[in-house]
This record gives sequence, structure tokens and C-alpha cells, in this order.
Amino acid sequence: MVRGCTLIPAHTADLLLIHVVCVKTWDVEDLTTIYLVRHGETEGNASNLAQGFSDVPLNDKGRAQAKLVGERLKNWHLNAIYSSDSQRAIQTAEPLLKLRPDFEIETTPDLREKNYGVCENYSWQQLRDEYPELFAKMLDVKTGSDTKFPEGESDREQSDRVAKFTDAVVEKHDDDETILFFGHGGSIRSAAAYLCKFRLEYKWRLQTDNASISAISSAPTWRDDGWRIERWNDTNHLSLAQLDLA
Amino acid sequence: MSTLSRSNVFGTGPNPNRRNIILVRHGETQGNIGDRLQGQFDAPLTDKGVRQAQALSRRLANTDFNAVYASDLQRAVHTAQSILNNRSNIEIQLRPELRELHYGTYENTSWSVVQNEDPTFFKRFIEWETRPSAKYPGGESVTDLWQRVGNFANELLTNHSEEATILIVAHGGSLQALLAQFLALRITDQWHFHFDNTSVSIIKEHPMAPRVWQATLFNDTSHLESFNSHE
Repeated sequence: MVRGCTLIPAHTADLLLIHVVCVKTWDVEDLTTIYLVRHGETEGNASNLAQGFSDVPLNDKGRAQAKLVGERLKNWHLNAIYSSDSQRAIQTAEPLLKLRPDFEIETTPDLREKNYGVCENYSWQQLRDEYPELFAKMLDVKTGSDTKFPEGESDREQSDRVAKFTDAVVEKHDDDETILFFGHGGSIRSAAAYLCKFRLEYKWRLQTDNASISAISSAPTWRDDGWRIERWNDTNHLSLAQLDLA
Repeated sequence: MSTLSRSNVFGTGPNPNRRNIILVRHGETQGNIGDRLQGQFDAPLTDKGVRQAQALSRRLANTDFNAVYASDLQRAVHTAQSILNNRSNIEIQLRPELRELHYGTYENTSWSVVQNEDPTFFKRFIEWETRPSAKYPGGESVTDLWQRVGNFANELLTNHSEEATILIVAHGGSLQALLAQFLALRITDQWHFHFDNTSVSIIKEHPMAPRVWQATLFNDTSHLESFNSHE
């Protein structure tokens, strides 16, 4: 936490005098924050299919979840909104964009889910039955990151494109800005794992539910080396229970 | 290297004995506000810390715990007591293994004191590559912390081999060490996880793989949303 005074030279009639004005700074560091929101539920999620690049829409529950995401985020400090160009991500962003018409959304294929190639929309069972060797390789920590189904992508290839996009976005924005990504389970975890310099396979140790909000922030200080996870998989906006606050 | 054993390949069958662990960092203390090296100095909760713990208690009012463990330092104990709010069927098991890192002769001082008195050691501590082995004079190194917390975790899993929901109330550093070991991360990865006062984090065993853990929630402070103004 950095608290302090900012020197503001004020122009006066006597230009040799510089008036020093103490302005209370905000109680936050030069914090770059990236909020990561996973799209709402789709029929494929409900049946546990590997949707990947398939451009499927939200189902009724997913659309309801998107509204709750919009409500939750409507007053949060934000500087820019990006989204995977998959419609399930864009549809999740739509309620928020309606509530905040001053924002435009920038979409990108770089935030898409992993491409499952010929196995798009397969169930876990189908993957195991039709491609048993690749399936086993995918689950093995030593080979999982580089395994891909025919005409598909590996985790590492997905992660590389997410990393490239994330770097470009961070570069483009000032140190104290807040950015929002609408994405997918895999792409969101890739972004976090990349910025926190985790081994790629660690990303699977963080769960991301539909319409969850996660946050990573960067405040390089002498003690923190770069990015840290501020919150992960927050779905409080989806709960029917009222939180009884002080 | 994590002291918890884990398989590298997902198990072949469902795991009926899934354990859930809820990790809570104690409420605010004076040292937290001033960013001091509190370590094992037994600071009490501030008034705000007490209110934070009460807000957390309301949030967890309907959660049943099979066991509750807390660091034996008062800021953790009082936070745990607040959560349980006089529940009669459960006792808090106090564990010194869950205490914060011991800063030795620098306990209850500040970072600038360390930097001024021993700049070489200070540099070793701030660099992540050398931090694990940097041992505070009269105190511990992060490797020591990792070890004692890992021993506690192994004992926990042995004592609770069946399905259970376990609450652990501890400190930023000890929780980082615990989380990183359950998730089988490297020792340097732990510092990427930032625990706020009274935040809730949940780790669960994978439904298909015993002893493979996932964080299903991390650092949630929604119960404090009326306290914070940044959102």
C-alpha cells in the first residue's frame, strides 16, 4: 500500500514560487488488474462435451448467469473489455455491455478455448474410446501439454496464443488500469498460468466454473515478483442466498 | 518438492472419499495495517478484524465442519472462535505447526529494520530464488515453514481418510505453503497466491483422482464487500 503526497506545481503570478500541494493518493499501488470471466453455461457444458472452437450459444441457464455477471460487474472500476470471439463468451458479456454503454468490446480468436480438431464436441467417454492412446497421453502430466487430437491444438499451442495476446494487452494499457477478459476455462487458466509463470500443467489445479470471476493483479514491489492471484472462481453472484453483511 | 504424495496421472476410478478443505486467513491486526514482520508475535485482532471475523461467521453459518484446526496464535484462534460462534459440537484443535514464519530476532520489527541491519540477508530474502533457504537469525527459513506445514498436511490426510469438510484458520505465509503443497506447486509458486484477511479459499480432492487437489475458490472476501470501497 503506498500512501503519500503528490507534488503539484501551481502556476502563480510569481513564477519563482512553486506551491507544493499535498494530495492524498489512493490506497492502492500502481495495480494492473485483469478480471477473467468464464462464459455462462451451454448445452455442451451441461453434458460435459469438449466444445473447443465450436461456436455454440449459451443455454437458458447460461443467459441467466450472464445477467448476474452484468449485475455484479456493473459498478466495478474497469478500463477495457476484451472477449474471445466465440459467441458463448460474447453472449456472457452482453448484459454488462448494456449496463455500461460507454464500453466497447474487442473480440479475438486468441482467447478461444482449445481446438479439439476432429474431436470437437466429443464427450470424455468418446475421446477415451476412439483415441485411447491420445487420451492417456493427454492425462499424463509429462505429455499432456503437448498432446493434440487430429487437426486440433495442444495445450501449449493454446497457451502460446493466449500469452501473446495477454502480453500485447498489458503492454497497451497503463500500469494502473483494470482489464476484463471474457473467455473459457482453458484460456482463462492459460492466462493466469502464463503471467504467474506456473508450469503449464498447474493450470488444471485451478477450477473455473461457468460465469465465475477470477482476478490477477500486478504490483511489482521489492517483495512481489510480478503477477499474483487475487481471487479465483468467485461465483457469489450466482448464489440465491443473500449475504448478510455488517 | 511437495511432501504430499500425489499421482501424476488421473486415477482410473471415482473417489468416494473426497475431502474438502476450507482455508481462512485470520482477521486484521495492527501489524497487517502497518505491514510489519509480525511472524509469531502474538498480536490481537483490531476492532475491524473482529468485525471481519463476524462477517465471515455469518457467511459460514450453514457450513458443517467435521474438524477445525487453527494456528495457536490469538489472531487465528479468535478468528476461528468467531466463525464457530459457540457451536457446541466441535472444538478447535490448536496447532503451532500452522503458525506464521518465525522471523527470529526481527519479529515485530519492520522490513526497513532488516534492510538497514543486514542488507545482504535482506537481498537474499527478497529474491525468490534464494528466499526459500534464507533463514532468519533465531528464526526459520521458508523451507522450514514448508516442511512443518507439509508434515501437518500429511497428518491431516491420515487422520481424515474419509469424506470430510475441514476448516483451517492460519496465516498468510503458512496458508501459502499449505496451498502450494496441496496443489503440488513449486515452493516459489506459493508467493503468487495472495491471502486477504478473513478470505475464504477452498481446495477439494478431484472426484476422479484421490490425493489430486484443485482450488475451487481462492481468496474470496465477498462477505466484506460493505467494508471495501474499491468495487
